[in-house]
Order: sequence, then structure tokens, then C-alpha cells
Amino acid sequence: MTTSLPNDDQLGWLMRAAQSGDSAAYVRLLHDLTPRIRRVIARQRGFVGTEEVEDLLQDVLLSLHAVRATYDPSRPFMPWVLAIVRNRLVDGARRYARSAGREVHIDDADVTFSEPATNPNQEGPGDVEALRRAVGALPDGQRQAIELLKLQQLSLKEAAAVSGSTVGALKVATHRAMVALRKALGTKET
Amino acid sequence: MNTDRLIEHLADRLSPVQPLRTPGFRALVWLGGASAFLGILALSMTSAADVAINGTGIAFVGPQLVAVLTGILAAWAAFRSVIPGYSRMAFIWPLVAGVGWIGTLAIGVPQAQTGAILAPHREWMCVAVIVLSGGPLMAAMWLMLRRGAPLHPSVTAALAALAVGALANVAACVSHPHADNAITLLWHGATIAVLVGVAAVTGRLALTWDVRALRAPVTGAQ
Repeated sequence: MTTSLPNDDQLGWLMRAAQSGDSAAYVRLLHDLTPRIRRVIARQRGFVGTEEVEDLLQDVLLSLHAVRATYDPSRPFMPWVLAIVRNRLVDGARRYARSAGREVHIDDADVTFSEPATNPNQEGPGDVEALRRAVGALPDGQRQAIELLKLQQLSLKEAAAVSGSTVGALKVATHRAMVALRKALGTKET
Repeated sequence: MNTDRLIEHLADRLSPVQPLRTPGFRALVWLGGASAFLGILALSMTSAADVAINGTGIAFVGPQLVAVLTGILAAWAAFRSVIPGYSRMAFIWPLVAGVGWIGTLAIGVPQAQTGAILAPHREWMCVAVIVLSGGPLMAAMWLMLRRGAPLHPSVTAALAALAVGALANVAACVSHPHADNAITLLWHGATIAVLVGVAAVTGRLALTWDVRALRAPVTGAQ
């Protein structure tokens, strides 16, 4: 056998042999057809990747196998193949359009949702110096409550033990301190 | 899945197949069976009085001949539509014949009596003949079409329904005389139009590429 691509008659002869059950002829036929079909798919579906081209190629080979009885040995072979290729490409495009319509592409799925766009209600750090001045201007009890609970992040029980106050008094002091700070910094309650 | 592996897999599963006969031959086989079935059905339902009422004039015979032609062309086009590589121009001819059939019937419409046209109790029998006799014919054609390639499933199914409807319509006309062609046009035409529409919608579900079973063992082995 020469290395040149077989012509339509030779391919038709291989298909006739395959219809008779000749596996070797069938393998030869499919190997000869594969690069041609791959080229057609790549040309007509230039926007898809190599993997998708292989998927479409395999779909065509499976379809060709399923309807191999429809090849009439008295007719040209390649028009028969190309009609199947065209049909499977159209079906593939239809499937792609249907699945694409149901899919939502997410480029950057942030698991912790820390990006500013996902936290529209969260306040930024703001003016740190103004905050420090506002905290310093609070009455002693409120300032201590803020320092222990918000800055040192102690629990209410721990803060009560450290300050010698009660949990209830700390809650009240914290609440008042927060109101005073918001007023001083000109922020709205959320 | 590797394409070379798929080719080996397909070669391993290769079994000899008999190439399908030409669409014309397959259409003839189906038409032969359909004619025999409808012929027997029509004869069993037709009396000498029915034949006498129908007559042999062009007003009765003309539309029947065009309906038969529509059925033949639709069957031929349906069988062609499942063979890759044929031109789709063949789809047009049954439509042309169908329009011609409507035209031959429409000639009688201006003279028709409205009351007779809209007398449903008289014409349900025709609808029943077309639908019930069309069932086995459609099933037979579907079995034959399934051996082909579902390149245009909706068109194929619609053509099959048109072939069945056109021929069953002739059986209904022969076995059940009508006052005029307008009745045939309205009742038979509407019935056939519904059958064609239903077939076009369901054709995509009935005629599909059956390749999943071929692929499964290969992907499953990965």
C-alpha cells in the first residue's frame, strides 16, 4: 500500500468489505477517514478545542458504525460520510447551545466571600485616627467595655472578671459606646 | 476516550450487514404492503351502492389519483431522507403533490353546502378510518425507517405521516362516499394535517442516533 490518501473508490471498497464483516478493512477504513473527518470538524468548528474536536470525531465514527448498512456500494463514498459528519456537527452544535444555555460560568469562585463586591454591607476600616480619638473621648466605663470586648475580643464573662463589673453592665456600656462612636464618626446604624 | 481505542472497539464489534436497498425499492415494498392492506380494508367496508355514488368521474377519481401520487412521493422522500448523501430536494415533491391534491379538492368548495361540510356525525367515520388504518402503516414504515440514519427526524416522520395519511384518505373516500370534495378537504385534510404535525413534533424522539450503547463499553472500561 502507498502512503498517499486512498481515493473515494478505495474507501468505498473498504466499506463494502466492512459491510461483509472484514474487521481489518474496517480498521484501515476508519484510520484513513479519521484525519479527513478531523480536518472537516476543525475547519467547521474552528472555535472548539482539541478535546471537543475528538469528541465530535468519535461521535461521527460511532454514527457511521451505527448506520453502515445505509451505504450503497453503487454510490460515491465520501458524500455519504460527509452527510453524516454535517448532521452530527449540527446535532453537536444544538447540544452545545442547549447545555450552554443552562450553565453559568464562574471565573473566580471565592470560597470565603471576602471580596468587597460580595460584602456590600460591611464597613471598611475608615479613618483609624478618628476612631482612636472617638474611643478616647468615651466615658471610662464605655471605653473600657469597648477595649475589652471589641479590641481585645474577650468574652463577656472574661471582660466582667477583668473589669470587676457585671455582664449586664458591660452590655449596656458597650451599647452606649457603640451609639456614641457612630454619632462621633457620622456612620449610620446597620 | 482514545480514538484509536474506539476504532479497535468498533472493529471488534463489527458484524456483517446487508446494505439497504435503494429508497425507491424500499418505498415500493412499503407501498405494496400498504396498498394490499388498504385495499382489503376498503373492499371490506365498501358496498356496490358506495361505488355507484362515488362514480368514476374526474371529480372523484382526480383527487384520488393526486392523493395516491402524494402518498407515493412522500413515501419515496421519507425513505430517501434516512440515507446519507442524497439531495434534500426530494422533500419538495410530496409537498407539491399535496398542494395539488388540495387544489383538486378545492375546486368543489364554492358549490359545497355549508351544512353538509359541518355535519360532524357523518365524517367521524372518515377520521377513524384514516387514523386507525394509518396506525399499522405508520408502524411498518417506522420499522423500516429506523434501519436508516435519522438525519432529519422531524421531516422524515412528517413525510411518513403524509404518505400514510394520503393513502388512508383514498381508502376512506372509496369506502365512504361524500356529498362533495369540500367535505373531504375539510375533514380529511384537517386529519392529515394533524397527523403530519404530530409526527413532525414526535419524530425527533422516535428517530434518534442510537450510539450510546456502542460507546458505553469503551467509556465504562476507562
